[in-house]
Amino acid sequence: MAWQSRFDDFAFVDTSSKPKNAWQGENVPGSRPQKQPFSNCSDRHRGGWQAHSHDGGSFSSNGTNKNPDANGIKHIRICDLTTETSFVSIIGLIISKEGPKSIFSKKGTGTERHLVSFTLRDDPTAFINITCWGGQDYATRLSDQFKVGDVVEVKGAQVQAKSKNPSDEKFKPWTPSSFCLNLGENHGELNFYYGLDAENFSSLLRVPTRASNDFYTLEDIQANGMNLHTEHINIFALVKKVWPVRALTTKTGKHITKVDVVLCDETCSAFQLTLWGCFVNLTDDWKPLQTVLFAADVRITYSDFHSGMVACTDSKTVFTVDPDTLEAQMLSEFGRSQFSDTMNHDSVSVLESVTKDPEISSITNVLMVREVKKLQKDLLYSNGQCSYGVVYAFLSHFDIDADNRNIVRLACSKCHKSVNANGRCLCRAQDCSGNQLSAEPPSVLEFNVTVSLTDESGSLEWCYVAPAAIEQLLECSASEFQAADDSRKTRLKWQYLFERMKGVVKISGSNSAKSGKSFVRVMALEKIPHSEVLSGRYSAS
Amino acid sequence: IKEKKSNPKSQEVDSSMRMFTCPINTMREWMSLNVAPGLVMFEVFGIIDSAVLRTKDGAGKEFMLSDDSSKIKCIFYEIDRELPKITRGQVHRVIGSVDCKQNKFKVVSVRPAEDGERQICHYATQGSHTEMEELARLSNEP
Repeated sequence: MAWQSRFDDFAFVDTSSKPKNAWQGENVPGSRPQKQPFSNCSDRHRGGWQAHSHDGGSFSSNGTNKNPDANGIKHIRICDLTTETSFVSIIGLIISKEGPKSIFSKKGTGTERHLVSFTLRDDPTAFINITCWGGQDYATRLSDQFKVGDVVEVKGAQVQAKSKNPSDEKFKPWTPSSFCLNLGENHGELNFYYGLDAENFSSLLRVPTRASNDFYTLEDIQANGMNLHTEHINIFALVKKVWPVRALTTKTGKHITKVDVVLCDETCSAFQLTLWGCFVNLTDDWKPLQTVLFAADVRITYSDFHSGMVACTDSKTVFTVDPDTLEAQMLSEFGRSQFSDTMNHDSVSVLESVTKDPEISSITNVLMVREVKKLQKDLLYSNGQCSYGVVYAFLSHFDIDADNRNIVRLACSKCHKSVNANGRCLCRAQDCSGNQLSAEPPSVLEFNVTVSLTDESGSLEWCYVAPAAIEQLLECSASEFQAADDSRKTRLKWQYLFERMKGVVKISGSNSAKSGKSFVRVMALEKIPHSEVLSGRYSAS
Repeated sequence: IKEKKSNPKSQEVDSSMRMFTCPINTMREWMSLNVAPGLVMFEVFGIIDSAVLRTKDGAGKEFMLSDDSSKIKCIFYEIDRELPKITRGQVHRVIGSVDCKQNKFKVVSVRPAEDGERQICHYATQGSHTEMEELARLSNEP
């Protein structure tokens, strides 16, 4: 078993099939800076951390933990651990769990020892690994009892300096602390913590365990390709689909579960992440196009089956679900826009046969942003119903000169779903006939632009604009636009950005009433003469 | 029970970005109230009241903007484009956000005001005013 190589004092079984040190940045030529422990590049990371410890006040109460509590136990903060302390009591939030599992002891000639390990955190910048050793029942009980998100009190844990030997840390989550803790069945205790300040810890669950800018976009992972094969990196992405959990039996007869999750971000529409064992339960609450993940230290490998890079979890991986960062907020907004995009495309055939959109010129009722949002709320569970309206608002987001986003995309000329240029531009949608031979060209280039419209009552963010509307607004086709140089794109952008626009919007509920989704799509967008703003927007005034 | 009722109400205040049209002094007052839950940007119509100078650190360009009510120092960072040509003494339409610490108007868009915008400014200011009052009222609720 691979675990056997995990600790110094246990029989060493060579797992040389794994490249040694591949993950350990400093020893590998051409290694990537993000793998350095962040204490070494503290400036950049500290900045990141400070930005997230917005709720700093709530942690200050931890300071009082140093005082003995009712039972006379002194709690130490993780960051205050020193080489002088040998046994400590701490309070922390479980941010990761692994096990139970077993290893064969070197000392006890083949006796099996069981363990379960946790990562505890008591501050955005302080977390530590703790391993609990004991019999099978003990390990199973602890593992069943405690889960990620619980606040626990550790009593009498043995403090151990992290081993200098990198292979010892190879199978544990990375932590900023230079110590780790050990707990045994017969020494030390692990209990739920019910103190009044327990709630203060919950926000720690949403702070990424690495600097929030320390990740690869999904596109960058594919671009790096084999360079990342077997590397550990951080991913920040949106959950797109969670496949059903599968139970497998390994060659050694061990039962294990796995689940495949499809991720996406603004740069890539599908990327596979496989979760094993302990991590599978996490996916219960993950919602497609809503849940944002910061996954620290996932392992990247090349998959023949996918002909591309894929990611999987291992014992180093730590998830931060829906991180409390600005980037995460933007990504979930993006998710909403994608939802409307895919929903629109998915439902085009169904919806349009039932309710065809009215002529744009016939839509005249003027709505404020607040009113559009109200309609959006009303249509949440409406099973595909829609409303229309005209919005006079500032165009507050119009990133057509961004080089990190696909402003144009290849789409199937029939069903308008995205097609992949690498896939010989054939449509892969199952229900589309466009993939059969036909006289039409199989794919067309179209605009793929999202905008925000803002007035005094708020913003409609990440609204997908019909490709034809952008073509009309910019007075150029998608292929002309793609060929244009950056300065022209920027000039075009500033012709419209922060100007008053007239947008015709469609607000619709999703087809499945269960999903509780509704979205706003811009059908037409134009910059209009001031006289029309007056008569259209302020006629009532 | 009362508290529980008012809490969800205050959460209902939209925290997405808002854009207000108003004179300079209203903009200042509004920012000092600090009641908007999200980012606020302003559209201000005023006269360019100084020459345009590059900042000491070279990162941006500064100029004064004044209207009937007040004047404010504006700073424009040339991130993706140069500051467009603006003429001192002419009425311009300026969009930006307020940097309270430095008491500056961080400008993202500036162009000469166009014919017919005077009336838009009038009505838009009224609309913004109503919204601002409503927001202030909501935030003052116990």
